[in-house]
Amino acid sequence: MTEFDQRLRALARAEDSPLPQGFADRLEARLDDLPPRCGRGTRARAPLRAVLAVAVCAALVVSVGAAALLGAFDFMREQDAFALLGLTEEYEKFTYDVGVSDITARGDVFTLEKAAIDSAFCTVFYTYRYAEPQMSQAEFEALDAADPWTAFSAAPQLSLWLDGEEISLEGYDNSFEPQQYFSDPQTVRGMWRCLLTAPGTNGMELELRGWTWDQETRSEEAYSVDFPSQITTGAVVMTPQVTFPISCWGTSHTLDVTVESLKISPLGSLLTLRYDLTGDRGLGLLHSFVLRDGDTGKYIPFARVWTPEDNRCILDGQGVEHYELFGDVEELGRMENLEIVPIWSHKSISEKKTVSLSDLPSSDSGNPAGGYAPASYRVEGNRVIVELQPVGAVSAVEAAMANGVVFLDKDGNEVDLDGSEAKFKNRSTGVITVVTTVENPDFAQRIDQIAGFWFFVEDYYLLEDRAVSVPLPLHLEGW
Amino acid sequence: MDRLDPQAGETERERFAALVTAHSRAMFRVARAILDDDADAEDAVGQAVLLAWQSFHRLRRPEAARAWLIKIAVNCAYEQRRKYGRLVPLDAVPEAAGAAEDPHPDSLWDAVRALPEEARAAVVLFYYEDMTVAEIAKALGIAQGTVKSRLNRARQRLKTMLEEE
Repeated sequence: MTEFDQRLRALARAEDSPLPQGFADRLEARLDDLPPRCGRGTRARAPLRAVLAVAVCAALVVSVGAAALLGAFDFMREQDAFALLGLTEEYEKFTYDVGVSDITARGDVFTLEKAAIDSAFCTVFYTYRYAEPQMSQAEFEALDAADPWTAFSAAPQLSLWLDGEEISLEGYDNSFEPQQYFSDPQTVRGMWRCLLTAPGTNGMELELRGWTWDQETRSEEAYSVDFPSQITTGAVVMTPQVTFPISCWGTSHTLDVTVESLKISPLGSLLTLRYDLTGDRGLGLLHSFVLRDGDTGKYIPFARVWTPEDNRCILDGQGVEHYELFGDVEELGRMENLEIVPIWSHKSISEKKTVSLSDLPSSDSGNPAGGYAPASYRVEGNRVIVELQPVGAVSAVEAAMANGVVFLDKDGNEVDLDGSEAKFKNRSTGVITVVTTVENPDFAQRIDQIAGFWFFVEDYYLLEDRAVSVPLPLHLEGW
Repeated sequence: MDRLDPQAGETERERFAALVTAHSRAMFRVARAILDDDADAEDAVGQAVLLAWQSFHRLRRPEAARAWLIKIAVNCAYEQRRKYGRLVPLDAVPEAAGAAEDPHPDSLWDAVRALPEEARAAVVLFYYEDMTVAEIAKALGIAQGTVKSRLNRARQRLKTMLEEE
């Protein structure tokens, strides 16, 4: 992602594109006049659908290499530390074994190996074993197995159901960094995380549904497994219902926002805000605030969780926004007051700050109020890994940005890595890790040119006189 | 076996309509990138809406709706394209073709529409829909390397068009 790309994306967002006159009316008419639908019927099922013990599935993979013999969680743990989102210890402690499988019509085996559930989040670790190899051994060995994008198309599409109702709310646009990796030419290991639309409780009979797209036959391989919920960790759930006005950044909109709930748990902490959009089809809060522990003054890194609710709620005239809070869960659990501090921009566009590799680590975010500062840079094979650390008052916008850094050579010219980016947010520290994988054969030459990079500076200041304190009546001492 | 679905009640229709409405601009944009005029693109979106409705029950993840609807719109636009004309591979476009481009487009959209046909869809998905190379490859049914080369070439042309203003 070059500076030019970032600029064009900003331009595309700003100017949008025209629709033909009357398009919306004609579309509405077409939607009002949809014909009866064909073809729902019973979902195509596998000829052999069974719930198998993990041991049985393990027998299916005995002939493959050692990596393939690892369970999905162990496989994920062997990836980079950032792959488990800063929750490795929490997952070790709070995941429970499930071990159920389903076989698709063509003989693929999906196995749900482990799950971790609290009152707000569900994370599952799974293995998808294709009936046939998806590539040759040589192709697999040439594959960049550490890049989650290489198995993107092969990954199961999952959803969680209870009593026939879907209860999963997936965070899209990389809200939860879903990951999947080929562990051999035939096997994908992965981790998938979602929000729960209903509070998780013990003993729920859950169904995890999935499908995998087959590019060749242009069909879906469908499967599902049933498993019971086990809540293995406590969570604090507060519903403060405090309402306050906030001016939305960069717009003329002012919204009355209600703090609907705050859930704090070792598996993830979630703030939910709601506001009325009746008669005002604004764009929501647009990163208009920062969060602070009202007692210690410590700022809390956080990120927006983008969910399907966003569109649904806006269409209903109700806005709901979820934010995941990052940091030490015990500190978050002890918090007695959460402060929401509105911010405002000096200018309408972001600026950029350049840093040379020799100046790292840096604590300068480029904004006196706070932001993300480059903490480290390293190269592992064909991957360039940059860590950005939260400093001071951190808005959610940095976490939402597609990449965040543009590499420069010693003369300050952009280095075109022509790579794919993946971005991981550490839930325990708020550190953002940006991984750029360079796939060209000349990756070493390209990477060698890098002498520094620039990153976006979000230009905001705090409106302290409009800060709102949200009392949190419950807090925890230890977990 | 196909059969009528008596269970498809108002709620599901409303949910479908809400999703389509929310993503209709993206559907039109990508169809317009592939097709040469607004009317054809709108026809392709209309066809995509009908197809999507017929298979809406297979969309198990509502959050995947955007990519799913875009994919269907892409397929319908290519189908439309096949009926009326042939795509010209970017490689076959002579450099002189740049002379036909508007040297001073009024907007990014104008610049995108001045690009060779084959590059437009990838460019729209990358810049307007914020999709990754892998996602674009999936939506267009082409290799990631092809997406990258199309984007690279388009990037150069866009730079020329937009930075010479």
